[in-house]
Amino acid sequence: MAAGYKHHRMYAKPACGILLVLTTLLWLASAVSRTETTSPFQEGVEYVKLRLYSQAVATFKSILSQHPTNVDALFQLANVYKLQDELELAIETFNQILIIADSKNAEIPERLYGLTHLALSEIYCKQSKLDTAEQHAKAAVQNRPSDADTHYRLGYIYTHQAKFDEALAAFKRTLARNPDFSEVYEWLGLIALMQNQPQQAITHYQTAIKKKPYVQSAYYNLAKAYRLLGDMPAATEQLKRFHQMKAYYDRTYAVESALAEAPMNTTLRLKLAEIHLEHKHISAAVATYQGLIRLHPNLTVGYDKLGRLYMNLNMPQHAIPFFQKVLELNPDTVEAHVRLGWLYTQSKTFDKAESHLQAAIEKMPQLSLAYHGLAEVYTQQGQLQKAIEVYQHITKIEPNDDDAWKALHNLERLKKESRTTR
Amino acid sequence: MPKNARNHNFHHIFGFAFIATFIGLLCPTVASTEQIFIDVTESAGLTFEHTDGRSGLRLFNEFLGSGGGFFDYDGDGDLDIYLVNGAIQTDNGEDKKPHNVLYQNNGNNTFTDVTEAAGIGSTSYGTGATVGDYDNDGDLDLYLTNFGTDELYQNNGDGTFTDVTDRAKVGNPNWGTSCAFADVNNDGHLDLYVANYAEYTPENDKRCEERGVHVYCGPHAYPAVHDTFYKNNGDGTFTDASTLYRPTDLIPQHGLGVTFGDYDTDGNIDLYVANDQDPNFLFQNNGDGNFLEVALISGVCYNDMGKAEAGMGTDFGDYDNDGRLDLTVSNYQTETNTVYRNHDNAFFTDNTITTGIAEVTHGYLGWGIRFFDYDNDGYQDIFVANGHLMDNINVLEKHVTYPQKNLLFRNLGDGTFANITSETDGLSLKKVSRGAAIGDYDNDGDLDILVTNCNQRPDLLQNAVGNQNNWIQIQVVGQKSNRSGIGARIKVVTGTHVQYREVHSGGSYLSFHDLRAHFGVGKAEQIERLEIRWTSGHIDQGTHLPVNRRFIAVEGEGIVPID
Repeated sequence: MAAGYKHHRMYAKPACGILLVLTTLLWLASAVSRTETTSPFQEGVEYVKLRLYSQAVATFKSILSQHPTNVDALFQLANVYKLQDELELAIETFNQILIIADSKNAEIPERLYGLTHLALSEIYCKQSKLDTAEQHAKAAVQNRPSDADTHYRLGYIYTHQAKFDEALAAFKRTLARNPDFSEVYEWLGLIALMQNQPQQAITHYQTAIKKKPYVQSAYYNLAKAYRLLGDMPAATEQLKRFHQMKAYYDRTYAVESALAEAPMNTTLRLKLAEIHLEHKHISAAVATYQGLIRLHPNLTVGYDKLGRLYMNLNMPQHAIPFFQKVLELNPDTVEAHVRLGWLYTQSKTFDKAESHLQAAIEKMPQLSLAYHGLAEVYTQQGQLQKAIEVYQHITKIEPNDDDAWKALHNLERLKKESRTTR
Repeated sequence: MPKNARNHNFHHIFGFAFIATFIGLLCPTVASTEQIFIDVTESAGLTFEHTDGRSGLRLFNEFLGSGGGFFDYDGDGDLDIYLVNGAIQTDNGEDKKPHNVLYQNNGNNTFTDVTEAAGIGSTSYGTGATVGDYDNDGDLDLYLTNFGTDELYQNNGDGTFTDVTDRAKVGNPNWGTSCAFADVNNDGHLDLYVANYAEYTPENDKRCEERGVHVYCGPHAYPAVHDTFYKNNGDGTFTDASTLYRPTDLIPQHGLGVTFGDYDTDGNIDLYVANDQDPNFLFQNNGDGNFLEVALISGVCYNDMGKAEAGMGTDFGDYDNDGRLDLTVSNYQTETNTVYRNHDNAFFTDNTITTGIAEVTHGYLGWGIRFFDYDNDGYQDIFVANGHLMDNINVLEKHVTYPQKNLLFRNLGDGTFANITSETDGLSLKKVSRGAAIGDYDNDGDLDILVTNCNQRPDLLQNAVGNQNNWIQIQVVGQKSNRSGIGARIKVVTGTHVQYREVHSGGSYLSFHDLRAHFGVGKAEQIERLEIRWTSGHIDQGTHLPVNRRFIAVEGEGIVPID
């Protein structure tokens, strides 16, 4: 089944909702940590994180059938509607929170009240009702003055209303609360561009890129700023980078669109992570693998991929638990033993390294890689004879293993030199 | 200085002070209850009703609608109307075949259907149309784009047309959308550009859904095809030069809007194409009819997020009267329409927000779009025809409707526009609009609007206020240049106020317009200088011309009043 015309549009211009998901996730994070949250609630939050929206809706509705005024569940339900683009339902549900808040008998956490206004502001932006969005953003600011998101939303709205002085003030307040808010620098750059101040725009876009290097629009607009200054080589260079980022975005967008249709699909998630890795966007790859693990906790592939990723990043302490998990799920995984052997060797935990490598050899006696690891363990511990014996064994089972021969010769020479010296 | 004025250098501050004074002098007083445009469709006798085939199946080729426009086919000095129609694609039991319609202007604000006599009642599944005197015989010929083979009708000069598609070799077999004539190699003969949409047949129609609701498919459900470019051989035939003009590595996109214009003022007419959810094209003419695609480096490829939008209609026009052609593009709902300001004849800045049109257009799905000076104040305003493409959009989004109001933005002369739509009766209509054509059909000195609507009658909107200010119109006739004068650049000077127009055959969406160049000149009582730069390079000039008159300018023979 092909997606309709609108489906493509939903992602065409996130102008009205850069933070649409971000603020939601912030709330999600805090909601999960709340002590009063129930298990079904956490389950619902997990569904949202995994984009299993129909399950999430069912879960929150079930909670609400028992506790109709549970504002946490209402917020989550409204949020799921928002994520599904069911904006009218989202508005209706968010408004229920405000009605409950306005009734004298109910007490609503201030943060939730502010975030409800913020979410409504985002929705009304999306519906092209900037005046209403502005009112909600102001209410959000009033309730959450220390929250950078609320000021950002207001700045965003003012920018689109061409009220640049107000926008600049709102963005200034945003940065005072969160100096790393990279989107703000993008808007500051855009305002500078619109005010024909290309040099200022360049500064802002460079900061935005430094803080978040994977956003195509920053490169595009940086190129425009250079173009306005008449610096064609710099503009061309930025357009080149823009193309790279755009290609990255287009590829991830295609996979994410497919995932929206089939959120349980493991292959698609692996593909998505690989694209992130190709563009060296490590945190996105890690998040994708973590999503896969949450979705399929009994599949080894997510743990294995994350372990390998951390291994490649030379972060053995991060990698080890994932390979241990692989072994826990499938004790016959020889490769995990070998990798743990190497990782423990790196961290000088030789007994564990030897144990894993021996386990690998036990399961696959012809696996030269495990012998190499074992030899390394002995070498690093100064047990040259034992290492030599291992290499000799390798050369017997793999007579063409040049590395083994080389290592063997080196060790024998070392041993000889050691005797001579003595 | 208003807070949203963008340019802070001395030149612009000075400029603003002057402009503000000028505007104060020129603006007609428009009370909020005053009718600016009056819907005269019925009284004018336009009974045409468009059909998209009404299959009920949401076939992919149904939502684009059809266009139309103004042209003086019989050379009697007033504008006639041509309307393009769809066709029935499934057996619905009806015997009557929908067809295109030609309305002859009776000269008294009414029209007569002369389709049969004229012989241009095409029954193809029509999309767009354009006019131009391709054979330089002194009358306007008509090119039609279809879902199916496109058609060229040669004007016989006696009120009838002959289908010369095969003879002229312009039967573009692709799904053509907007099209336009222009002389790209300045040889005096009009060439032809046709935007093509997608590779599609109803037999291979896909079912698309959105949240379980059956909807029209997006453009990427079907592969794009390259646009078509025909070079005029000067002997009544054309050569398909599609593969010659464009860069070899150009990726085909879903083309919808086409406008020619010499944006770099080098004397060679350039071309902009609005593509649906794809990067837009800006083809810079290198002078021999070959083009470089420079949209990205020129800043007109994407929106300010660096993303392709759903470009529908487009138009070149000099809204800030600086002598450089600016650009506007209509886009999908939740995108904004875009206004690009020509910065230096090579680079455009995205002034969508600063012009003030972003906030309003974000809530509409725009199609036909055109720069024109409705109030004759000397600044080009913008009209946009709107209407959603999904007949059931309200099921998915309660706040969105299938029929939508069209929009009129008044140019305030300081780089910003004001939405005055709600103040005008004829524009308060809510329909599923697509094409928009501009022309002074009643010859009263102000510009009227023709809007085409999906599965509905068109709207003929008569301008009721424009001629409170002064104006002039110039009909250009090329000699060495193409006979229609398409591409001629006209400069009008009144006091210190300078305006520019180019004669274009396309622009907007699926539509064509009055080929006479219309200038509003406010309260100025004479035209101090009028200059025409023809595509041949020849320049004609006139000085101290009276206002509120029509002129004819024959290349090399001077500028004389018509009446």
